[in-house]
Amino acid sequence: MSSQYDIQVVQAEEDPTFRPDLVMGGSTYKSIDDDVAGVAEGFLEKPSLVWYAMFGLSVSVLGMLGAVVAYLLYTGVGIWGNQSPVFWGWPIVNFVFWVGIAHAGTLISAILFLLKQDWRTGINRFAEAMTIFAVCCAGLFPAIHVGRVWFVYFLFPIPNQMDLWPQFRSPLLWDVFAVSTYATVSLLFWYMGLIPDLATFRDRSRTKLRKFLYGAFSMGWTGSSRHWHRYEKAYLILAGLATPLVLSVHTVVSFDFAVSQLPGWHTTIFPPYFVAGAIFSGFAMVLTLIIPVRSIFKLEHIVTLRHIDVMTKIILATGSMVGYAYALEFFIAWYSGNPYEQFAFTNRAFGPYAWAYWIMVSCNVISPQLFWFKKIRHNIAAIWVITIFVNIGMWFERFVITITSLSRDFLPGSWGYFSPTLFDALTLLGSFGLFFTLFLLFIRFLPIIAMAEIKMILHKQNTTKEHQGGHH
Amino acid sequence: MQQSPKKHWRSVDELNETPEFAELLGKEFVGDDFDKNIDEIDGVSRRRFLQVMGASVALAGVASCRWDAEEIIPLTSRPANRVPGKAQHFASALEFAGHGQGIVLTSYDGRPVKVEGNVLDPNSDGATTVFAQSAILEMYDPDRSRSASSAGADVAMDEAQRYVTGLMEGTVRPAGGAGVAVLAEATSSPTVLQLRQRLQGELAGLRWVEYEPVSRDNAIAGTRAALGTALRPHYDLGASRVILSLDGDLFSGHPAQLRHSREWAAGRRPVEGVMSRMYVAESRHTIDGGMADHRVPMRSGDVGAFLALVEALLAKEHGMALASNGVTMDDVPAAGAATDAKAREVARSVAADLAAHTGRSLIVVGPNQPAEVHARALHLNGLLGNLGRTVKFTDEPAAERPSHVQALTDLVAAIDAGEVSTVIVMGSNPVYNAPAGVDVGAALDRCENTLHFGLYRDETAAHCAWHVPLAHPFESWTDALGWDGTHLIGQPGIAPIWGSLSNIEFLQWMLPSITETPKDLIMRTAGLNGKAWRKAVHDGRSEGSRLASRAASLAAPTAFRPTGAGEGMEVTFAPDTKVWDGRYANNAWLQELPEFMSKLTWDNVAMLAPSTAERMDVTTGDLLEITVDGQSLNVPAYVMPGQARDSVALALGYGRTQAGVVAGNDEVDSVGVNVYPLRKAGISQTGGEVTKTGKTFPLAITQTHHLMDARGMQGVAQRLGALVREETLEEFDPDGHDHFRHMVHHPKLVSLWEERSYDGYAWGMSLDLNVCNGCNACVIACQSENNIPVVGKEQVMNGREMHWMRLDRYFAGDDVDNPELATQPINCQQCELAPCEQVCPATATVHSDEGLNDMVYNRCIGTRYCGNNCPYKVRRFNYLNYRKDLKDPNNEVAKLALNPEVTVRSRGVMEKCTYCTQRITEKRIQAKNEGRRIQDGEVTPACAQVCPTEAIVFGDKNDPDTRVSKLHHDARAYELLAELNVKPRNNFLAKIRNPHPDLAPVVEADDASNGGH
Amino acid sequence: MLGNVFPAWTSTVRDLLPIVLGGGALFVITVVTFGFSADTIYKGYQPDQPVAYSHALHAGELGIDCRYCHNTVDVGAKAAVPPTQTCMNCHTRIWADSEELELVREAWSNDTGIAWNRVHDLPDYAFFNHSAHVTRGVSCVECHGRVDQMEKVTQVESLSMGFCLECHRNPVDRLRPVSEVTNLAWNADDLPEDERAALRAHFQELVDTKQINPPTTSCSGCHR
Repeated sequence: MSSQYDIQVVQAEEDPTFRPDLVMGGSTYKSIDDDVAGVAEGFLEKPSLVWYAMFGLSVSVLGMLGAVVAYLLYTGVGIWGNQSPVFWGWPIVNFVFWVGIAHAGTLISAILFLLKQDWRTGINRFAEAMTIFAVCCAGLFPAIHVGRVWFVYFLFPIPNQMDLWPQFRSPLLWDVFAVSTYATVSLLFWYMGLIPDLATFRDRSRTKLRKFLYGAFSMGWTGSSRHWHRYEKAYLILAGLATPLVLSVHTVVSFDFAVSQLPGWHTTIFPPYFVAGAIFSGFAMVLTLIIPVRSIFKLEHIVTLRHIDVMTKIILATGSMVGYAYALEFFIAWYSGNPYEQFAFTNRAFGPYAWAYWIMVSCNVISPQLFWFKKIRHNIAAIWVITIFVNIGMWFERFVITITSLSRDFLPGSWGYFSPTLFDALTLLGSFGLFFTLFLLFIRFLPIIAMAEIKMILHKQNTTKEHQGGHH
Repeated sequence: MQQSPKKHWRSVDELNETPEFAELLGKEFVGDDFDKNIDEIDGVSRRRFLQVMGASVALAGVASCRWDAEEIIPLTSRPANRVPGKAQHFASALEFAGHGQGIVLTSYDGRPVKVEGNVLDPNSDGATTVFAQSAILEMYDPDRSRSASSAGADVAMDEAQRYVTGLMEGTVRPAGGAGVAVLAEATSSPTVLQLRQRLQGELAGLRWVEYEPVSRDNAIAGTRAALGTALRPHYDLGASRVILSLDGDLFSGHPAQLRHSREWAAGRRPVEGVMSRMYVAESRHTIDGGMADHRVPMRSGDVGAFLALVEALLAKEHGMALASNGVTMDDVPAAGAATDAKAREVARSVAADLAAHTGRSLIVVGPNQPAEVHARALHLNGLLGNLGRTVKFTDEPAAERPSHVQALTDLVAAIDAGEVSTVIVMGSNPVYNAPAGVDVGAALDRCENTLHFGLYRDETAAHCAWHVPLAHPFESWTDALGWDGTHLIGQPGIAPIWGSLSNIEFLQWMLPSITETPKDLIMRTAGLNGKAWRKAVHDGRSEGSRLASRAASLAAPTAFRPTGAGEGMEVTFAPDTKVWDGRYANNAWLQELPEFMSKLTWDNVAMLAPSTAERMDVTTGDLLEITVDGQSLNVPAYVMPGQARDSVALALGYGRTQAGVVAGNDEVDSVGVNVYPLRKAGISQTGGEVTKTGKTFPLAITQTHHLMDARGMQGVAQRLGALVREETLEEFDPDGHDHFRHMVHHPKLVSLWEERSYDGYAWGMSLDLNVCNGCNACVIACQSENNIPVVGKEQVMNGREMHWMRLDRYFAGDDVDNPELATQPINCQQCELAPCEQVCPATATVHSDEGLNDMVYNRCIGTRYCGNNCPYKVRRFNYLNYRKDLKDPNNEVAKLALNPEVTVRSRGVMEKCTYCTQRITEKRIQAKNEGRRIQDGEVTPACAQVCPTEAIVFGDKNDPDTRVSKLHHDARAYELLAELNVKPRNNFLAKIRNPHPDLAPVVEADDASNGGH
Repeated sequence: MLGNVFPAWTSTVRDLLPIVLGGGALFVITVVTFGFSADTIYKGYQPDQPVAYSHALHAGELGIDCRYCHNTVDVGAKAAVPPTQTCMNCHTRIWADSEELELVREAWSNDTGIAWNRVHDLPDYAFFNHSAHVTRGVSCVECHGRVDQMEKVTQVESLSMGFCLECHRNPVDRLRPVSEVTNLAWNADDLPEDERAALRAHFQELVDTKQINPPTTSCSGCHR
């Protein structure tokens, strides 16, 4: 039991009719401002060494990424381990991994919003931010992994003197549109939500510069009922727009594989399987990040154990879906009677890449099953460890799909074995550098909790309490 | 240096072709000119060079959005029949280890870029070997010697000439040639031989020593023993119904290998009648063995005993015994691989087959076997009535010459004894390839005057005071004799790039009295002039010239009691199938060519039988120590299915130290290990010890499936029958329609989108798995035609080799020590519903209206999705800039080897086979200009053109009368992975084995049924 | 007003911002589209030549047929620039000592080439074949313009891929009797109506039936 705010959750376990508060510690509208804005403002009073240390680290890793990319553009994709038959290696694995991470945010903000899941308010801002940053990392890879980056504009339908258009049958082209749309909408959505809170920051700022910047970005929000009215409308519309995208992006990404005829790729189960996997990894990443943050910045009363508990349940559910997909792949391979398909899967589990396969299974299928147990769901440390395993497992899932299938396809004469180079590792590491740099800037300068929305919840909570005469 | 234009152009009028004009080119690159001042190359003289080339790309680097501005520098006067940018073809000749091959040079603007076979040369029938194909790269090799040198310092040619003249007048002639030796590599050139006789006539004391590390001396000795005189045997594989090859090299190194392949293939086409049956007993797994219906791996030392066994069985079971000294079953050693139960089983069938096909059978013995085995084989051929039928004889030009090893050993002895103090080395490289114990280097150092005359400044040049650069055969007038004695005339395709000399010209330095031009000398040798001569030059050979054929009369056979190799490990040496005896070591194409059996590039290895390796607990890549008579070497092991037990096979030709930047020199480490130091007196098999060092060595192998995990092996075994479809001759029904197509069952195939129809040409290809023997010529031909880069050992280890044509090699059967072999040439199948096309987001690969799967390099951005989605994995990606080396001014000359009709791909671009679309386009335009359709056989892709077995046939599928259409309707035709509904334009012709009824086929055809369902 | 931070006028700026940004984007697109179009870049290229050779004089006034100098145009891919000899065929007698021809005589006597500056230059990955066009009734003028009126040769067409396709997708209008291929002045409109119609029908037939089947627009037609 990590904090005093958890009692209610325990109570809820005994008395199912009881709903724990989503905001605790007798918060008031004012206290919420103080608590959340305090995170950012705190840095003004006493610049945290920890933050500087972490930021310095991330930025230097990011710099390293820059150097690697420069060398890549100068030398060619040959610096990676990609070869024949494994034409796609780690870059694509990383791409799919990050796109997957990018799923939680919009799911939480859009779908849960439409489903009126009030508990989302505690984490949505945070998750959306993570989404944006993950998309940045994801977008990097398709761009740099092509052989001639300087001709990448061939992919966009721009009228040109060659009278040529891109190939609209190619899933890669669908990707270009799917991912960029998703990035745009998520960004707008996130920014929309930020506006009222930016205004709060503006009003609380004491320095001219901060006042000016927050002022500019809050675009003159005054909190007038007219503003609120428009805001709610726009937010609802964006939520509506974002909802299908949550499903479409990873569906399209899965087409990159499913549309090909390669044994191990050529399968109709991919779209649902990929989406489930994406939500799975997305929530895992949210937890991995928010657990330390809430304890460092003393936000346990806003991001409560209940929030975490709900998320672990989602992870459990999606994790099981993924496990089911793994099983089904094998069944279908056997059932299809196609020797190439059958070999592709037995080769996955027992071939030269068996180690990767079993890492994937134990991380993605076995570890989340622990969330069946209340004890684990309430053990913050355990949750944190498990979510990290899930992240690792989901990276290996993409590794297994991409590389084992490619390394042994139809003609044994062309089989090969892929081994990564130092640069593969550095590029992956570098993408984390990019992610954490953005993330650290976020917690330093922006409201990491949707204050405005929390206040609404608080209002609801208090009013309902008055009706029932209030517990405790 | 400047010749008067008059003379220059007169020769043009004489011959309708003008290699000479390119002398200008040569002049521009004459040594000092070049090395002295690189700027000059890009400046004045480079311009002159380009002027010769017709048009230039002198980048003026104009700052603008346009391309870099170019200059066009036309010739002062254009030779007749020269159309800038249009291909011309000249017949020429090439010598391979002392035997001529007729070839045709394709040249653009006077720049040869491609070698083809000469259909008029009976020895090649228009096919070529890998060696001939890669000769182009050799000619433009930047590492070739570019000038004469004295004591390591470059000197002008005329200075070298003054030295030679001085030497001749001052020392050699006064002494009547005493104390002087010419150490030359073997040549069949009649003109050179005449000059040699003239020289020896003038200088009685002069020793002329001919040395080749790899020779057929045993065969010559064998025929001498059996026939009394040394004659040259010629085999008629077409007429042979049964072939027994003992350690043979019919398809892999024999001077007549191209003709052998062609005739053998003709006898292996089941639809066109009965099929011949081939038995092979050999120690190393050669491509000859790979083609056998029954193969018995045994140590080379056991082969004689196997022959004895066959003879004994002929006598015992078929009453066919030699008149005297016959072998009986009691004489056959009881033990040993040659005569164990399995071998006896095969030998029985061999004997039966031979007896049943008297006059239509053939026993051939490889050059590694001792003379007595050769002799015995001839006696048995006589017994079987094959002499004069499947084995015919002609004179042996080299009959009188002492064995190469003997000659060299004697020479070194003479030098040590001080009898010889002046040595002139012509072409040969004995310092590198002399037998163990013969220290030519030290001997040369001991001599007063030494001069080396060769293409490269090699190991031998390093031990000679003087060096003179030899001109490449394509740079000079040469002549040679084919194996059958056809007199081949080799005209130059280009003037000597480095101003080097031909053999003839060099000998003229020693014989100043002979003033005719080399061309006139050859004309005189050929005894032709006027029209006849011009025809001979045009045809590349003087018609009807042959070695005189001889009727053979067998002497009484001597006793033949081979004991077999006995116990212990055997070490065998053989020329490498890629770099031969080492002379081609600096040829990057050949170094990177996957050796057919091992798929090994950039190295030589010690081949071990799986069972032997298991006993020694050795796996591929372990470093072995091999000891022969106290001499030890470390060689990486390679576990080779089909290698004989207790026999280690070593390939000669590696470990060069003065070859060049490819094979190794002072800066670059040697490729592979030099095993000559283990090779006593040039003997090709010997006892030795093999031990494990515990160290390992990285090998670049392009196809490793036989070296991999059990799961993978299962996968291969399960699908092999569906990929390489085969039957035995008995099972095969010549009228069976689409039988092989239906071997793999699949649901009805539906296309995702509307399929297009092809009403013009529809190009297609047919590849015959029954006769593809894995000679590799197509791979190099493709590389040469399509400007395919070489990537180097590290990249190959990383799976990035670039060959568009790949020969998949599969082992089948349960006995790893004696597996069955299946070959499958794989190039782009030009699928009509190509999976690569619909996944390319940039429309860089799309279908042409003739059904080609076009690859547009300039549109490709390198997503590599097409590569993933290609079920045949025939696409190759330029992961790095593999053309960097061309930026080095020193490699300027290497650019000349590029085919101007094919784009040179940049880094980041996907590439693949296009059925040589540039050749199709050329003919299409020509046909259209003449208002007709392209005729069948008019367009031939590079791979099909060089194929000695005609396994590859290309043409228009829409026209029912083309060869390819007929083959696509052949009973053996099938498409690879047709169940994917990709509709490949390639058809394969199934493999038909012809096992002896008594010997059950090793692999049952049921492989086919359990695969691919 | 924007909260309590900014003066009132800033709200107008805010509201105008989208228009300004949108307009800017539009402007950039226009500039790029026209500024960098093949027409802008390639047309009108007119480099100086080492010798002031006038096509207007030789091909125009004197009416020398294109193929007298560019004699490989109907047999090969390249319409080769003539060797110096071709000039000297006449200029040993005519203008034998004009100093404008000094360079030519020099090149001739020293057997050095004249370095002409290339005007019409396709990228190396585009393989154009002259013979395939001129023997099919596509005139020089289609790509090179009225060279017979040029004092100094100028590129008049973009020679971009689009330019090629434009014609390849509808060749009939660009065909003319093979005899008229080098007659740059020829113009179908000069012919009487009925003749023109007949000719057009004839070409249509050629394109459909004879070996001039619809020009291949497959990539491998030009790229290998």
